[in-house]
Amino acid sequence: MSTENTTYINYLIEISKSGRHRGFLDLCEIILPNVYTVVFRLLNDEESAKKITVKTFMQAWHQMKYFDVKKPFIVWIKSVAILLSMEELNKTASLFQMTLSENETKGSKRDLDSLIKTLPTLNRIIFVLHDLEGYSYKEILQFFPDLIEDELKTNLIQTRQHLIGNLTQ
Amino acid sequence: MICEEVKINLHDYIDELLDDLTKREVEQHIRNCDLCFKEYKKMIVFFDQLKQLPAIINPPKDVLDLVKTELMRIHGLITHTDQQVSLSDSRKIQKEKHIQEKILRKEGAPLRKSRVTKGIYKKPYNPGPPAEVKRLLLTVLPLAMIAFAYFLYDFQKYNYPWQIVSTIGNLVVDGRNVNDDSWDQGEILSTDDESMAVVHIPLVGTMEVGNNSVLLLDRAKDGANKVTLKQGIINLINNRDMPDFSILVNGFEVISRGGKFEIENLSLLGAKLKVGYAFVEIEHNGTTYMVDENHTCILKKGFRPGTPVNSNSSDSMRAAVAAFDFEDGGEEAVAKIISFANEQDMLTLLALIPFVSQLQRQIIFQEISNRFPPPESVTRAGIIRLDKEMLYRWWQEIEWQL
Repeated sequence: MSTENTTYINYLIEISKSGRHRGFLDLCEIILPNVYTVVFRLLNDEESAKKITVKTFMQAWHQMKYFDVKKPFIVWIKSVAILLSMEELNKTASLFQMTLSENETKGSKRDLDSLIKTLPTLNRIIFVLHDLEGYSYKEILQFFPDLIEDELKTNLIQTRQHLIGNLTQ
Repeated sequence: MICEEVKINLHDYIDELLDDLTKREVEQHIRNCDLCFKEYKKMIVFFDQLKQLPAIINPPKDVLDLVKTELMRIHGLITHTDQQVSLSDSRKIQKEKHIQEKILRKEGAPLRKSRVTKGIYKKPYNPGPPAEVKRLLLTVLPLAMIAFAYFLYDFQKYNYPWQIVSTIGNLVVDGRNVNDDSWDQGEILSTDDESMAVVHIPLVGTMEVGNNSVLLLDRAKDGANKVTLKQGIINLINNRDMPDFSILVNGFEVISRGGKFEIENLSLLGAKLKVGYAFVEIEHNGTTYMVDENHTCILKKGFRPGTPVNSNSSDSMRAAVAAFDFEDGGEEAVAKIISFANEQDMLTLLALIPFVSQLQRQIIFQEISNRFPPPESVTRAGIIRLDKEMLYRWWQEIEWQL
């Protein structure tokens, strides 16, 4: 995952760091679809996604002065969004509580979008980050310090097999 | 490698994590094993469907307002002072949003993985026709199919006739007196001193044709529309970000790059190009010249395109530029241009650089740097030696700030 900042984004970052709201709001508008997409895919709920997106931007605003302009801004803010989404998901149930059971891997045939939505939380997070957002295993491990790479891989393969097995052709 | 190993490795194959040797072994196995090939085909279908999911989910409209309100709240501002935080240049923001979305769509993981899955093809089981015939068919058939597909693709791009609507008076199309009519490729459209028209250009936008204008529709084809402005005035309004539409005037090709512009062909005095929005490119003798919004430029036969001048520049500035471009004004004219230049004239100075002496390039470099420092990747030496890439990068840097 790497996306260089454009000149205009660097300019907006600079003025946001100096405390100007206008620059920061412009920056938010540009990257909003990017941030909202990942948050919505992780949380599966519009209201929560909205709340966490706003929370992400507010946290970014507070930490703006520590942000290193040489780093891709979108990568940084997305990691804030992912951490906050995981925190939100953890409030309702532990991320590790549910996994794909044998029965679920042989469910009824559905379209891909609804299949992804019904994945257990941990499987969904790993799948969304790896296969939809393009994070590598190493990058995903930064969000799950208690997991090892093999566990991640196994989880992802299990998810893919579940999706492939239940996909309407 | 056995089937179970291949099943596991297939995922690493798609994730591009295998070393070359294992990758070849997986490919070899899949080509020769019906069961694994079936598994592999399921993966292709899966990643193809994954690619179809929207790259972007549109956020609810009030998210930005919520951020704005929250910002106000924590800084103790009253919501009425919205002007303080109102969003600035929406065109730049839309452009940036577009860039970000494009990156996401182009470089998204599903698209990449879908491409990778297409890497293996199964070895045909049936030996089929004799080798020579097969070889011939394999060579000729794809070529014939490509040629046919290209023909069809190219043919469907022709978009004439274009619709013309008279806004006032009678029009003449290829000798016919008409009010509302269509305009075919190769036909001439003319207006007199009492008539004007609007032309609807498919997938591009509209072109207003002023009094006493004569235009030839050279080519009506998506991606390569071309009109010659023999005399008169036209005003082009694009609806597309990057339409491919060009106008030939006095031996110059004016290429639309979105937005609005006007060209008035004053015959012997040359044509006057006035860009209202976005920018325009001019092709002349193999060189491309850029004209930004709010700039005008004179196109005279026998000369290179005139240096673009800001619409708000002073008359003295215009006169000095005209003297340099068309009256052999030389160094004296350049010195005048530099002395008259304000912040708004920096793109004019930048456009002059390729046509002045080394010493004057140094002076102009300094003059522009004082107002718009060059981006990191642009150096003084590069500009002096007329590095095209650096000149363009600096142009972009100034363009969005003006």
